[in-house]
Amino acid sequence: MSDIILEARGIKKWFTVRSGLFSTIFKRTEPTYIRAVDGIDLKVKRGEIFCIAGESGCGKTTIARLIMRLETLTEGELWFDGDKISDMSESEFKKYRTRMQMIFQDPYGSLSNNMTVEDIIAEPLRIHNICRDECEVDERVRSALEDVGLNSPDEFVGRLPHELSGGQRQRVAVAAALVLNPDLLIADEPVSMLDVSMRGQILTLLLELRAKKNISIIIITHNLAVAKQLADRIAIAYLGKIVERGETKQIIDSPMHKYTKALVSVVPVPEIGVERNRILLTGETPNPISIPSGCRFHTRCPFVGDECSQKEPELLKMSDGREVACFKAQVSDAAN
Amino acid sequence: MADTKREVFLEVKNLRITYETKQGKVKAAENVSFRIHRGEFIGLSGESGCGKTTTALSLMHLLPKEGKVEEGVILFKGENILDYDTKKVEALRWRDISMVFQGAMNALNPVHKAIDQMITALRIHEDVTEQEAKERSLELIKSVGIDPARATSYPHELSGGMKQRLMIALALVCHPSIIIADEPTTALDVMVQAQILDLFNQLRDRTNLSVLLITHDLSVLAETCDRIIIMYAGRIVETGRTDTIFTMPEHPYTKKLISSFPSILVDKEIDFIPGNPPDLINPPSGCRFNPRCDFAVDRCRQEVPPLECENGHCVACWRRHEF
Repeated sequence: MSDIILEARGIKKWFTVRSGLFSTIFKRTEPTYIRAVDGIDLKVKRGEIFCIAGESGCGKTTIARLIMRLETLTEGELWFDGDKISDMSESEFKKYRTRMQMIFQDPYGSLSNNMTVEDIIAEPLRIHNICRDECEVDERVRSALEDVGLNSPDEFVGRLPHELSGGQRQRVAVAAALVLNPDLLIADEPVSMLDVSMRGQILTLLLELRAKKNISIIIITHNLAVAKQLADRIAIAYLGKIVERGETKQIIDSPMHKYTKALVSVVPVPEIGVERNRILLTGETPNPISIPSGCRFHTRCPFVGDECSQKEPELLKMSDGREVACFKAQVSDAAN
Repeated sequence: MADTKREVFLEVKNLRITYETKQGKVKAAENVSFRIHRGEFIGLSGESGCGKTTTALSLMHLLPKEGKVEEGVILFKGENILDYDTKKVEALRWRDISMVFQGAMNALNPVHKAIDQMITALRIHEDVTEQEAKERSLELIKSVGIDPARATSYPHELSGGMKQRLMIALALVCHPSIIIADEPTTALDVMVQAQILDLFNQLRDRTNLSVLLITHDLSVLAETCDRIIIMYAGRIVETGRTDTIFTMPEHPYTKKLISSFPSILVDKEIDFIPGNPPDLINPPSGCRFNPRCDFAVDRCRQEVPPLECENGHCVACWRRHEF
């Protein structure tokens, strides 16, 4: 059993942009690609909560879908608990699928409307033929419900999703993911559809699960405040690449990459009268079809230098252990 | 109120709104009263189903057909808007009160160029020539930070942030006195959100515009508003100046709401409010927050606490002074 539960080596996902019939016949154009994920390495440790954060279009959801094999890799390798899963056939991969589970953003859309809570949670058990009999299914469904804090299972098993509140729905979604006892849980924006008062319940639940079952969790979110409360380590993504990675507190309290700096500086805070040095970037993230040359961020970076548009900075380790892909940050770190 | 000398623009008094559903009457808003002064930015916050959007829609006669204003008055420049007929309301909309909706992507008409939509809105409400309307629209487009060359684009050619800016420009086109902005930044990325909030703050400095900003995101209100109204289950539970609400909240709900709001500046423990918001068909008696409140006593379960004001800080809680 290795310490690393999931490893991604240089994973890429390029989506082909479809051109119309006319241009395919009459023009010989190179196919264009959306470079959603463009060469990312990741290591997630056992029992770790790891966050991938960034704005829309940074590729964070595609990374999650690649890990779950909901998308095929364009390039790169995925390793799960020491086994290479990226080349496996679907039947070989099936037994790994029970060990990694995913929960989605929208608890209103991710649960089937006409299935009872019991059916929803029991479905993965039945698909994977895990239980000897229906009694065991029932037992595991109930214990999964208790795991997610729905403490009187009898009250919930027969209910339909519309009879539950948003927070309860998300708990049921977590229970359905947990019933297979996965080693890795991928949560794509697990709380962004929930009210503030409900969010805390789900976040606490995820922390408890990690403490109790030593499960690894990958959180995908755009909300840095949520990341700060939950994650041990964080990776900030921009246009399909990781620009900065390290311990969450370190990265959010003193970011080094200029993009992270700008992002952190404009997150609204519920504190009054705090003087903050805001770095307001103009424009929006460029289209991932035409990614800027050199450093992807150089078109919007307020501190851009000459080399930034020519060479792409590598993700290098700094003296304090974090990794940053920015020439300026690397130079200033070396100077200190 | 913070500054009573200033002119009161809009006053809502004892508003009660219900929705007729198959399961029964939903008491969506009850006893809602507040004022908006000239040039003031008011934030209206609370969780889903607390009645914030319902209140806003009623200001513009936009409630869905199930919704009904049962009681109350909405005074705008001394007249009760609720008595207006369709024609008068149409004259009021956009000219005096305009609205920015959540999800700008869907609020712009996809088959018309951005600038044409502005010109149309302007010419419906004001007697101006096409040329004049065009000039005014272009000026506004510039003022919200969009390159005038993009004015002739169709909505699908613009990014989400640009569309939201255009919606704000569109809302400003007839020089309204009040803009109601319902979750104007919720669907946007952090950086774009910051740009839009910046735009609001610039408008505040440059013009006399009043804004009713509706959002569940307290941090957005903290950065833009002068005063804040917190609603829970259809009732106002606390109102006051932004700094008072954030530094000295007195209603247990507001306190919990603020403490459960995560912040990147401090290391907060995760906090939340146990339980679920009440069913508004059969809301709890007394204070509607009582089933989830840590401090509830018998009185809270029996009598509805009134919204009582001290130095402009109004709280609806029986035990306000006990802690």
